Amino acid sequence: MIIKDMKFYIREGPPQKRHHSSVGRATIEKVPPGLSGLFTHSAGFRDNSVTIEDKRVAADALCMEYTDEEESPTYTSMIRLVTDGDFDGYAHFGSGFNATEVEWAAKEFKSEIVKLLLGIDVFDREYIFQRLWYAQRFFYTGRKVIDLVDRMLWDLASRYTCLPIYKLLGACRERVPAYRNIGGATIDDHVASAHKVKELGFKGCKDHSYRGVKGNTELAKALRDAMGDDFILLHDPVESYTYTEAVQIGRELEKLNYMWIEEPLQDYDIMSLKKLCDHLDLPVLTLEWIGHLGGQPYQTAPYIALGAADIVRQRGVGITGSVKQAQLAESFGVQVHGGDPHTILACSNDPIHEATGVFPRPPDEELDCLGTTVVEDGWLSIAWRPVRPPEPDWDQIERDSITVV
Amino acid sequence: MRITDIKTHLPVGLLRLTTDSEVEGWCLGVSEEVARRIQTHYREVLIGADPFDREAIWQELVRLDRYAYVPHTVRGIVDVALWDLAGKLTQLPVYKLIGGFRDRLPVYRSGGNLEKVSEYVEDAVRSKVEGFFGYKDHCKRGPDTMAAVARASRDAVGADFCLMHDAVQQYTVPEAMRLGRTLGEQSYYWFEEPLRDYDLIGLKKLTDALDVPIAATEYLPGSIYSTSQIVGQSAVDIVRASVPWRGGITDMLKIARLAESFGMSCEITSTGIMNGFVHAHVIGAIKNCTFFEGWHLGSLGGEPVIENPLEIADGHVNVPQGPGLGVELNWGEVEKATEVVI
Repeated sequence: MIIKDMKFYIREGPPQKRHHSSVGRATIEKVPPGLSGLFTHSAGFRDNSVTIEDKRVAADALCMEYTDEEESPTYTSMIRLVTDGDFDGYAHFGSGFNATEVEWAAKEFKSEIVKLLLGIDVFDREYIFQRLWYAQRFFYTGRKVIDLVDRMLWDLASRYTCLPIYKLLGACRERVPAYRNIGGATIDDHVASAHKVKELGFKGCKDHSYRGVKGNTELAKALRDAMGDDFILLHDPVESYTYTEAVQIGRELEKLNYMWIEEPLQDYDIMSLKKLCDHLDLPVLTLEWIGHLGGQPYQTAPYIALGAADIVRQRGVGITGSVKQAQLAESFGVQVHGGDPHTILACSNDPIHEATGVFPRPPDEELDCLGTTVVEDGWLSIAWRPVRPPEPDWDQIERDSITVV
Repeated sequence: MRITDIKTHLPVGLLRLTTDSEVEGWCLGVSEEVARRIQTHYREVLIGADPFDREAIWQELVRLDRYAYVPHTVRGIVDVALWDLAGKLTQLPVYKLIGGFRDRLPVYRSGGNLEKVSEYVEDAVRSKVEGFFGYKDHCKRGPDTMAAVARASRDAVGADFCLMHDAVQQYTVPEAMRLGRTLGEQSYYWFEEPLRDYDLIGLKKLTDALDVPIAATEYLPGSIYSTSQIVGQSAVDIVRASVPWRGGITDMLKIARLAESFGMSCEITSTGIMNGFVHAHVIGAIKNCTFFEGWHLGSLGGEPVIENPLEIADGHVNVPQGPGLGVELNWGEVEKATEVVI
C-alpha cells in the first residue's frame, strides 16, 4: 500500500474565547544560602517568615491572565496520508484562531515532509523512521514529525490487520498497575490528595514537591505514615537538588521504601547522575527533559552504559522509537517508565503506568481494533474488539473544509 | 486465536504450530533433539497461548531456559514459527509486520578455509566477477599467511570491493593485534571473531587499538543480556547475530536495536536455518546491517521441500513477499521425508 499524497483538511471548529493564564503555575525563585542550587519553584522552600500559601499568593500576583470578551472562530486541521489501498493514515494536526496560520502550518509541514514519504509502502515503517530521523537533523523538527507519522502508520497497520498495536508488537501482558500524581500547598494537602488517589484504586502516587531535603523528608514520612506500607510512593523533585542533597534525600526515601526518585538532578549532569546511581540503593529515574528534545533511543545508550540511569524515562520517537528504547534498556536489565500504553503492554520492563485520571471501560459496542486505554481500579489495560472502525468519509470531510492543502 | 498443537516432522525437520484457525506457523531445520526439548519444556507454555502474545512467550521461555538448561536454539525455533504465524494471520510478510526497511539485500560471499594464498585471491576475484558486493574468507592458516592473503587479495580486487576476514576465534591477542594492523592497512571491512567471544577484555583491547572494525558475538550465549555488556563497554565495533544460535527473530531484532542505539552495525549471519528466509526478513526490517551472507550464486536451497527457494542473483537477495516468512512447502515432499511426527 503506497503513499500517494499528503493532504490537510482545515475545518471550522466551535467558536471559543481566547484565553491564556499563568495563574497557579509557580515562578522560579532564589532560595536561602546553603540550600539546593540557586533557584527553586516559588512553591518550594519554607522559611519561618513566609508560608507556602503566602508564596503562592505572591507568585500569582505576578502571574497574568488574558481572556477575550468575544468568542472567535477556531480552525482545526487534519492530516491524511493518501494511499493507493483501502486504508489511509490520518491524525489531528493542529488548531488555532487564525485560519491562515493553520493553513500555513500545514503548507510548511507538507512542503518539507511529503517528499520523504511519497512512493513508500505504509508498512515500511523502519525506512520511514530512519528517513525522518535523519531529516530532523536538517529541519530541526525534534521528535514531533516522527511521532506523528509513525503513529499514523501504526494506526493504519492496526486497522489493516484488525489488531491493536500492542498485539502487533507482540503482547507481553494484559494489564499493569497505575499510579497518579498528587499535589497541594501543604503536607496535609498532599496526604489528603494521596488518600483520594488511593480511594480511586491507584496502586501508588507521586509528588512534585520542591521543599528541599528537610521539607521533602517530612512530606515523605507523612505520606508513608498515612498510606501504609503497601502503597507505592514516588518522589519527583524536578531537578531541584544539588548532588549532596540528592544523596541525603535518597537515603531518607530508602528508609521509607520509595520505589524511585525521579529527575533529582539536571539530565545534562551525566557525571553526577552516575555518582548518584552508584551511591544510592534507591533507583534513580532520568532522561525526561533531555529525551523530550528527541534523541531516543540513541541518547539513552551512553547513559545506561555509563551507569548514569537506573530507570529511563520513555521519550521514544513514535511507537517504533519507544520500542527501540525499551528493548535497549531491557538488554541491560534496566526499566523504563512513561511509555505509550501499547508499548507498555508489549514490553516487560515498563513496570507501572503514570495515569492522568480514571478512564472506565467503554461499552463493548464502542470498542474497535485500535483499542481504548482503560484505567480502572488502579490498572492500565487496553480494551478492544476485532472490529474495524469505519474509514473517514473523505468526500464529506472535503466538503466540510474551508481549505484543503 | 489459540495455539492448539506443536508437531515436528522428522527427519525433514519441519516444526508446525497449529491453531484453532486454518493457519499454521512453521520453522524448518529442526533436529530430533530440539523437537523433543520443545515438547518437554515448552509445550505447557505454548498450548492455549495467543500467538500474538509473542513477547510474553519470549519472556517465559527465557525464564524456563535457565531452569531447564535449554540452549537458545530451541527457543529460537519456536520464536521463528510464532513470527511466521503472526505474518500469515495478518497477511503480511514478517519484515512488513515488524516495519520494513528494504526489499532487496546486497550479498557478500563467504568462502572456505583454503590451502594457498593464491586460492584465496582467486576466490575473492571470482566473487567480484559474479556480482557479489564483498568476499569473506575463513582462513585458518595463522596470522602470517592471512596477512599475505589480505595484501594479495586487496591487490587483485582493487579498492572498491569489500573484504572481510573471519578468524573463527583462532588468535591470541598479540596475533590479532598484528594481523589487525595489516587488515586495517588493506582497508578490510571487518575483522570477525578474532578471539573467543567471551574474551571481553581482549576484544576491548583490539577495538580500542585497531582501525579495522572488530565484529564478534555470533556465538555468544545470553542473547541481549550478554551482548549489552560487550556493546556497553565498546568491546566490539560490530555485533553479529543469527537464528538459531543466538535465539529467534525476537532476539535478533532486540540485538540489532541495542546495537543501533550505540551507533553500531549488527551484521546478521545468514546461515543457520530455513535457507535464508528468516535472515532475509530480519535484514529487511533493520537499517544497521550491510549485507546478506551467501555462499554461492543461485538457489539458497531447501528443495524439493521448499518450492520457492531464495536465490542470489545480481549480487542481491529479494526479501520474500508472501505472508509470514513466505515459505511455500511441497506437502508431498514433506510427507516423503517424514518418518515420524513428534
